[in-house]
Amino acid sequence: MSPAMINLLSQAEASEPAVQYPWIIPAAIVLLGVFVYGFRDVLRFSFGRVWAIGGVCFRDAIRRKVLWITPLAMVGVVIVSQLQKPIDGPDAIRQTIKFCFFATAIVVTVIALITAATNLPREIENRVIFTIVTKPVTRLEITLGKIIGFSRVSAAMLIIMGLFTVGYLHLRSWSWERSIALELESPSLNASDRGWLEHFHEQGLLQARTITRAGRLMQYAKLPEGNTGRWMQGGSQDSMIPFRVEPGNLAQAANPAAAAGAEKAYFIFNIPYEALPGGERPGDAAATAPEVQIQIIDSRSDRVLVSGEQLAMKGTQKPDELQNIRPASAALNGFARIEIPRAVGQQLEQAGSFYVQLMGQPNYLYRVEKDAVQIAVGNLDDPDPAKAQIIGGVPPANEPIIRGGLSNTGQQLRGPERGVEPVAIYSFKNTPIPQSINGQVPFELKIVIDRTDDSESDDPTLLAMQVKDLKSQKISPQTLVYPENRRTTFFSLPAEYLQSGEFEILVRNRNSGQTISLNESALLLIADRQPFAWNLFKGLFILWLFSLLVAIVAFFCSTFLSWPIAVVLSILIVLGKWTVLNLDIGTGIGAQFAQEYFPTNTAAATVVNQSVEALTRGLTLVTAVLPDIGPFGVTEQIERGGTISIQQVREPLKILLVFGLPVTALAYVLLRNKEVAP
Amino acid sequence: MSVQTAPPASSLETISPADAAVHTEKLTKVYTDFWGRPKVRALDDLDLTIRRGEVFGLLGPNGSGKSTTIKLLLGLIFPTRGKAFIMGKPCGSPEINSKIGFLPEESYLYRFLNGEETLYFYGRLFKIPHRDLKKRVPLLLDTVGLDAKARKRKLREYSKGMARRIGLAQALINDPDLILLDEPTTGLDPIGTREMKDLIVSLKNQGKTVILCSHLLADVQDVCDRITILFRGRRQTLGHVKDLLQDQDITQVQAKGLTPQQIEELREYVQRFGKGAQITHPTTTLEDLFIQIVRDQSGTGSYTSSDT
Repeated sequence: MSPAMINLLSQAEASEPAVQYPWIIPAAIVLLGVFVYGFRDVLRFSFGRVWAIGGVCFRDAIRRKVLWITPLAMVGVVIVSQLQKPIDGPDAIRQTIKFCFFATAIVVTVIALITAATNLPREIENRVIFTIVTKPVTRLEITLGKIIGFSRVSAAMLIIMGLFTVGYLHLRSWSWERSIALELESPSLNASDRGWLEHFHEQGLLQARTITRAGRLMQYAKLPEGNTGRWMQGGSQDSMIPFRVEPGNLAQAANPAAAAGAEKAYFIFNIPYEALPGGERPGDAAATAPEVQIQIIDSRSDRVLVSGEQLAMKGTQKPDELQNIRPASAALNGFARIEIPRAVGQQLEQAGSFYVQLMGQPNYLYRVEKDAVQIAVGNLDDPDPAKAQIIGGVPPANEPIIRGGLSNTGQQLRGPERGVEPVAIYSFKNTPIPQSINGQVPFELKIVIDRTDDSESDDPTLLAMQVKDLKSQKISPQTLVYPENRRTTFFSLPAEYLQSGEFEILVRNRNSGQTISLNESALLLIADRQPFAWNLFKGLFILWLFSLLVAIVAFFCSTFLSWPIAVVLSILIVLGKWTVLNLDIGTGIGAQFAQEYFPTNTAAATVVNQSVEALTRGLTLVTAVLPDIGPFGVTEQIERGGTISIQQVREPLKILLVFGLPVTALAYVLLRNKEVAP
Repeated sequence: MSVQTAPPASSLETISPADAAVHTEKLTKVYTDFWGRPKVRALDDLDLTIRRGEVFGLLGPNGSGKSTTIKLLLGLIFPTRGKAFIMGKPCGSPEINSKIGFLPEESYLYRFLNGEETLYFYGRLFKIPHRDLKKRVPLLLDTVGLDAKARKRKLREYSKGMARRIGLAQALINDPDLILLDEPTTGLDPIGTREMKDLIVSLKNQGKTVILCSHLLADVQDVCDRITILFRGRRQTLGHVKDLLQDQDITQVQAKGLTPQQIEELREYVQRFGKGAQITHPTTTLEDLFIQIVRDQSGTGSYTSSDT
């Protein structure tokens, strides 16, 4: 390795910028709208008047029999939950929670939306507003009074639905707990089921567990030795090397119009490999060299940013093909470099951060260390390594990520094959450990099992769990776990290996004919338990915050639009960002479109690429100012029995403050300038 | 409360905007379409001064600008040009609204509230303490003639006359200095109309300024000190009712208990001095006759509205 390379590596470990809430613009809107423009109204502000207006707004909704929708929702929940066919008690409770929350969310949100969007236009239309604005009431008090009124309606509905949810769930859980008790009395019950049923018999079906997720999930062909020895199995695993570049890092360097001999940019690969037993192909050494497929992934959108073909390659590259032009130590038996074309360089600079993805061939193991891929700037055209000139470059931004093949449900972890037993590693850092019970700490696991048609495939799935204390490097004895497909399994691991808070959970699949899917939420540490009702209350509170956000947006829209258009615009505002995020639109989608639909027509591809990218930028810009409703979604967590942390309550509150407050201020400004006579 | 008497018309020009109950200068309102293009000139350069303590009539046919003037004074809409002041301050501000009572053309109130709840709600908007409201609300309901049964009924169940009464009560909840009444007698029976007119006179006697906007010219004539007539957004005339209605060229003589012979002699005498002399028996108004009959039949002399 050249000195230049060593220097590059020393610059690595760039940290992710912290996510900051854009407080300044919302604060400026509130300050200018309310405290500057509406200064006199602030001075005259009376909460008594606001409460009186809110009270009338609330009574309006109540006397319009809005609350009658709640019994309908309850009947719907009871009917749907009775028609379901749960596989067991926990599943029944899970589904019932889902139905209850779904019904509550729909009812509360729709009522908040309709009530808030129609209230002001209706009062203007029937001229009731005449008798309000001709009283000593400021438009600020009207705005806040209305919003408080809508929030009281939502709160009333949530209290009713919440009480129903608690009551109905207790009834359902009581019924299922009785059948669990009867099942436990059965002598024919197998050990796996008994443990699982006993857990619910002891803990009850209505649970709220505080769970801690692992910070990272990796998968290796072999257990690494400290920070080295990261082996990737070709065919079933891949590697992602993160990079972060800035304008000028690559595109200028790769500019062919520059003077002759000017520097270019290259990816340099340093990937040792070894063949699995019986995996070598016959022939000479060059012919047996395995290929590595390379493509570049946008780290924000996870889309393919640059394919292997675009890198002016055949799509694959033999790591040792160019070995003769670079010195290689005995340990580094694979080495290659690829020139980064100018257009690709510009694309990468535009993206900013990306991964270089490496995919190997089956029958080979590849060692992917931190220097496996680097970007070098210089002139490496000369086949004589002595004449290679490296004048700069970009090191990887972080450690390489090695992971199992991806499916819809997570990374696939295979059982042992041909002497290779892949290991999945969940890394926990700075993790508070709960008080152990009998020296054990509880965990839960929920995986998807894929049984192939091998002879062993019908055997019960068996996983071997170990804990590695990262401080002492001690590894615990194996704990065997028999998980069921898509069902939560509870197990414990020895507390003595967890006490430092810095540990890894090693998971190995012991069934060679089976593949399991793991994701970062599959294995969780149970840190605490809370009363279910308290957890439900927090969930309903978050739902109330959401209804408040919807009401604010709908009221804002109704200050300048007729109510049907206000309803539509409110839906777009509230769901806009969420929809765009779910559409997975990001940089690179234009190239993907162009590549897919116009693979041969370069001119058309360019137009499509630029148009789609421009549209994407426009959408991204618009959605940047819209609220992210993601943090309001807690149903799945309650359904799974996870507790809602204070941080999770704080996030929706922040969104409400950052988005809801300025929108309220804008609604006030618009209302103050509005002629309320039709 | 002191009783103010209206100054003579000749002194109007000397009233400063600050002393006037209402003062407008070149007040203009042009309604525009969606694109901001002028559509209707509803009010055109209205100059108006209304003294404190007078009953002022705002007359005109439909579309003459009466309602637009009221809406501008109340801040429901904003002027295209010109200025309007109430008690010397720009109209539409909450500070001024605390001194105003407004009875809209229709009773635009929350129909799901009952009579008492309505008054309590509007009272709270004026920050009137609850203990004061407890005294004031029944008093007002009595004043407008809504009995105990009617007070507990939802407004949606009210007849038009009852709705006007509760509308009037909400307009008076704050004991206002300036009361704007838009078609106050619409929907009221003759008794209610008379009571409304009596109430207007009573308010005037309490020193309050009343602006009356009505199509029923007889009502206006009965209670107003001064009137203005608007047409196509412009002021056509302004002055004291008596001055405007008086025909200086005609003299009326009234006497009681004359015999037919004396009447004939009087006719001959008058004909010697003027052309077209007429001597007839005066008739009462239909309203007076109606009230007399109803009061005679009810035997009480009072009349309240509960289930009309």
